[in-house]
Amino acid sequence: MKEPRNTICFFCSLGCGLTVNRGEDRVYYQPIATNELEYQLDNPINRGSLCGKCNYLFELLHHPKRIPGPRILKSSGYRDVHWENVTTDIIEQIAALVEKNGAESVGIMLSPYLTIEETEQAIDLAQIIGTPHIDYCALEDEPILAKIRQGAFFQKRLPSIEEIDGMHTSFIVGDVFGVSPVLSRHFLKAKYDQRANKMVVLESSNSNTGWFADLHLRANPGTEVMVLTGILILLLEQIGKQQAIPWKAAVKHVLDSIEIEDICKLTGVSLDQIQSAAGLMMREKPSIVTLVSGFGVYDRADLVTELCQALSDATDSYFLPVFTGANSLGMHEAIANFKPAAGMTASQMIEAAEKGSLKVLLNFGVDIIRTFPGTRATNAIKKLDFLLSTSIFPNDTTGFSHVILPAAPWVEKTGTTINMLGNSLKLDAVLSPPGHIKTTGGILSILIDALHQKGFDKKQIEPPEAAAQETEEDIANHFIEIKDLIKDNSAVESNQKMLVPNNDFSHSGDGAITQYLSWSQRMCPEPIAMIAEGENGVHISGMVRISSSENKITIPVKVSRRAEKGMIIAPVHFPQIRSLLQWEMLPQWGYLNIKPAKVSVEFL
Amino acid sequence: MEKKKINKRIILDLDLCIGCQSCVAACALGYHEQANVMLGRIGEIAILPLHCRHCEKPACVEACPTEALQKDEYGFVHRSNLLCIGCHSCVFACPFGVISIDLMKHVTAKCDLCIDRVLNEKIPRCVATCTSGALSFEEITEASAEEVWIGGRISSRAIIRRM
Ligand code: SF4
Ligand code: SF4
Ligand code: SF4
Repeated sequence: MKEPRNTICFFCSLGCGLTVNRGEDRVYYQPIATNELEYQLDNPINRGSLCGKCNYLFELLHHPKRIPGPRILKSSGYRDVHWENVTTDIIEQIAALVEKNGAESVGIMLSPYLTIEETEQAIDLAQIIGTPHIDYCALEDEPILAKIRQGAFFQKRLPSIEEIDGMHTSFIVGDVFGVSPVLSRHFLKAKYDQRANKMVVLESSNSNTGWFADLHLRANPGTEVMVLTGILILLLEQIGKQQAIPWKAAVKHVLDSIEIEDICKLTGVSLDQIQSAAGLMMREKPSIVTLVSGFGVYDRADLVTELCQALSDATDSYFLPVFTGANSLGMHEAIANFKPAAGMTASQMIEAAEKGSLKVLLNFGVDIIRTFPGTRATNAIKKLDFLLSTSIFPNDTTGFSHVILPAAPWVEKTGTTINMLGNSLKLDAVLSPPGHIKTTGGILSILIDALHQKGFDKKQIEPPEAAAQETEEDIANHFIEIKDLIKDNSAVESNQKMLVPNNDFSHSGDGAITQYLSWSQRMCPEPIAMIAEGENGVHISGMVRISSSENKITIPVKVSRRAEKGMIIAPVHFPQIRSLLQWEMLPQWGYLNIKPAKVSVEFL
Repeated sequence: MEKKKINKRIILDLDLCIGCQSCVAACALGYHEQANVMLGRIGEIAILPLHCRHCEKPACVEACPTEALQKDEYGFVHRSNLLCIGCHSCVFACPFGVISIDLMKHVTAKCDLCIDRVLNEKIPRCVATCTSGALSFEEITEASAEEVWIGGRISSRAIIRRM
């Protein structure tokens, strides 16, 4: 009997609905047949639409490269073992290392593609081991989430995705069609429904989203903070007279000391354009401010978030953050409620491993080497005494792991997730994991049970301090930071270019999965950089050596209208490209500021 | 069952297409294991899917030496795999260039409007999955026929606006 089952796509934080007509009676490895994937035409989020990678999800099920069972690293290489043996082995290693170095030498890192239930289990695991170090690892979402949680400004959440259809002005920061293509359905409906509706896009390259903009603020890479500040200065001049904004007095003296001419010079956006953007935001409501997360796209994504919220606050618009990690929002909240002040963030764990104070890393689904910028993470994980990785496919990080456990992708999971609107959605397993493969939740229960048997008990870990309400002074301080940023930005030297990461959507989402989908490979098979026509005499294609302060690589380059002069765009899901970006820790927050890098480019 | 001529066609609204290729993915994996939607590229300026229009007087049917291509009772242009000898005549005959050469199978690929779904009152896969709503499956009325058959409305409010 075939029973249609509904689930949601878990490749990004939108959560598009889909239906699978595949019954349990089907032989697992039979390829997908006609009619097994059904589009939910009445789903209010996506009205049936799915992007390419989701259409290809069935490829995962019988993918020949999937890790079939647990593996342990022995002196002779990896050996396949049974679950019972591997569990004993893991527990003994953890127990011995906790005994020797203390529970605080253990870190737990989670991929943002786990369910809320799995996250709670992982928190249990942390409590049983007695470590405060647990974090999700979504470097592009983290600075945005940290700022949203602090609630520095009044935040207007969108009641439903369909609401976008009626927006008079959509102000979009970043490549929204690149991260969640299905959102184009709603933004374009708004744009074309009424002649006067407008789409304003703040983005440095000519991406697909910029393409559709009525007003494209093509800022120099990494100068989004300045453009937003400029718009805010003009807005405050206009609004200030009519209504009182609580934080306005606090920031006004900072904003007053910024010259809008400086902003125009540094960002490459004209005063005219900044004025038009401010004007459009002041028009008839409703309007929306959308901030799209992207790896290495913004300089200080946290401040960009702050300003986007200020913009939505000042103009009484909705605010919609678009995350790359499917459950970043849910996991962020769950972990923030638990994590004591002493707990490290994912990036701090890597630094601690580098210094040698973190000895054990239990890694649930993160390809650490592929995720972090530069080459520091690779060196750091080599120093660990014990690295456990769960993964669906072999990846760079599993290659350095002492134990590899086979995990299940979302189509094989049941659980809850929180999407970008803050709504909770249900995942329903449309298949059970084959053979020896378990869901992350299943793996976590095995580990927790075994630790209990070994005599480990849940320990009380200091709860987090309640976040202090931000005072006007705190807010003013952020604006001083913004002011410094505007002063600090020195122009690119003549032989340099800005490396702008391209967050290609065919690979975005759970990168550990998408790199194995044939559709993603077809869309972007190799790292090819893009430059503007005629740059350095290149007219069609060639090879290029790119060197940054971190690394030096040689890749092909082609001419593309996506790039502007002085810019080199490269797909950031490839580790080579990430290795060029800089590791820049913001100590007060514990997360990385990954920004467009200044690189020197040599055409071969 | 009486076979009723189905007068619906896939219409592309160029204003909306974001070039995400989900339509290609749905066609390729969902049914045919090879994509029947092709993406036309106008330089790098625009990228848009090209569909079979299931013409009133199909040139491909006339060009086919083996009757592999036929216009069926529903009004769809259909290809029988087993009759196709892979001569590529249809590829050259099609004025819209939507039949692609599929070397692996030695026969040509051809959109059948997802007839398995359409007969069950569902819309074609590429239309259902389209992320931006650019593709629609519409009844061709007398008023719209001329536009659609000559290709005007496969298009949009403004033809090729991406410049
Ligand atoms: S990746 Fe995002 S936009 Fe694409 S189908 Fe999945 S949830 Fe929808
Ligand atoms: S109608 Fe079906 S067969 Fe034709 S292009 Fe669309 S998905 Fe492919
Ligand atoms: S799915 Fe829709 S938006 Fe995407 S390429 Fe096809 S027609 Fe265009």
